[in-house]
Amino acid sequence: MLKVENLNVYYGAIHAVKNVSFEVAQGEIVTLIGANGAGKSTILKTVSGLLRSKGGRISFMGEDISSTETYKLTQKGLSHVPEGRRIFQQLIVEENLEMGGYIQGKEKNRRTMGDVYQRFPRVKERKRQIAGTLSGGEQQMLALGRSMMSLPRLVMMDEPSMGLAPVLVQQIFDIIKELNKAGVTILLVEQNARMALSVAHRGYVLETGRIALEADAKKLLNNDEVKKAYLGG
Amino acid sequence: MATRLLKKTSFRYALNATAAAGLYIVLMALIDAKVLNRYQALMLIPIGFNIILAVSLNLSAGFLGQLPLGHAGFMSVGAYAAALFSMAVNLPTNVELPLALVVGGLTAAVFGVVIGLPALRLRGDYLAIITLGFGEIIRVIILNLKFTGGAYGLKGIGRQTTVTWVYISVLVTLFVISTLIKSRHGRAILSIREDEIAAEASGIPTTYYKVLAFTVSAGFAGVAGGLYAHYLSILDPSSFGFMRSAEILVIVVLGGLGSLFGSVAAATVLTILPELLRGFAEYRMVIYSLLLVVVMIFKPSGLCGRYEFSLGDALDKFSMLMRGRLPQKQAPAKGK
Repeated sequence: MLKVENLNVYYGAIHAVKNVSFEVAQGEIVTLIGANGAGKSTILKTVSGLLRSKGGRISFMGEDISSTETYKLTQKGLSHVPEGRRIFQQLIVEENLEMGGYIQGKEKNRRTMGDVYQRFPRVKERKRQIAGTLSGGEQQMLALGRSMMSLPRLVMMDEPSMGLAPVLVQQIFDIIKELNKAGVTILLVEQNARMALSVAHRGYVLETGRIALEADAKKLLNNDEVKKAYLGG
Repeated sequence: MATRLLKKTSFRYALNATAAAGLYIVLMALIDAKVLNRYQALMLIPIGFNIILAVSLNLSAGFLGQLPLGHAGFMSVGAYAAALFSMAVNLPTNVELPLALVVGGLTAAVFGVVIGLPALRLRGDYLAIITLGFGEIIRVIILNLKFTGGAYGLKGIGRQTTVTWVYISVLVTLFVISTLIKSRHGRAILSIREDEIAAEASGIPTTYYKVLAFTVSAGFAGVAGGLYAHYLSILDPSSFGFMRSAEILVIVVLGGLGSLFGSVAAATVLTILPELLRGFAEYRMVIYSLLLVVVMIFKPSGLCGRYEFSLGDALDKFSMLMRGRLPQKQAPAKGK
């Protein structure tokens, strides 16, 4: 579904992503794990067009998207939930969702909003509230809900568990699994490697801009090096 | 909720139209009855175009979150275009002036697109610098062109601006901009202010909306320019300098970035204030600056914050109070 080949990204003179290739097949949950600064977020931002690559090819559903603008990718069914939630603080919850479904028609939007509310009852309770007054967990749910509003085929999530209490982290990952069962393909970037690998089918380990390892998630969970480096022994 | 009959949109439109007509009749009656003297009646005109300038600037600075520093530049483009148009044609006043205002507004809007497209394609605060440059460049160009009268200024423009036309223009401006903001497009514009990256990731064509809002903003500055030209009957490039842009910005910030009501209130107060302080004319800018400093210290979000006045809501609350009921708990007010 998503295919990245020999991707290279620079921040000025710094070579942040080096010849990275990976693939996400329809129906999968794939995770990119790695330490701070390994290039995980950079890869997501490049795929979604917020950053531009220098060399390499990104294709989605067989179509080259290396130079497609971000908002057009959403129309093609590729959604990016950026790091740090980034909800529209001063808009109310419902308006946040409405904007998430910007590319859909009004009619479709209302139906999708019903689905989102069903999946996130907490968000529904607060639908007339200013989004900035939501708690961290609720904001993350809203960010996920907003992304669902565009009816994506593939969702790229950047650190959905960041700054959340363990019980909420568990909840978020449960939701990710449910979404996947409902037919959404997921590319997950996480620092919480144990959690990410426990829900994912496959995983890639990134080290300083390079892919160091690729395997089934179960295998990575039991891999000694991964255990030592990312799972705390 | 039977008590919220007034929620019906069509009813609210009718209500606002009635209120606008009522206010107009009251103003006219006050002028006719000489309660407002000739001088005070004439003051209504600068109040009007300052309202248009402030409200239009607020669309870009307050709702879109992109700060333009050359609003006077767009005003001057509109002023000269409207003046040259009305000097070239010879039509009855009540046809000529509105046409001239449309010409002024459209010309300024075209300039808005030309300036906005390169500046707004980028994420970040490039608009401030580019519009700052534009404001100065356009002034120098007008100063050196033949058909604009150069440094002598443009003379002999028909003195056609009346309180009525200003009033209509203010209403049109407020109607267009508030309708835009309350629409889906308006929420897209607000979401760009809130978080441009998230807006883009949600599929909102951010460049399109940024240029749209900025262009509408520039266009109405042009309309205000047209009113200004036909009010003074003489145009002089030096009256559209950076200080002018700064004055408009002061009105917007003082009233509250993101509050149309605030812009209207602040434009009214800050146009009248210097006249009241005529005795200390030379301290005008000192008082202006002091006011700004004081407001920024005690109420950084501006006098009205993001508060919007709505006649329908006010009546709703009033009717509920009359029935001895407290207003039901509604969505918390926007802003802090």
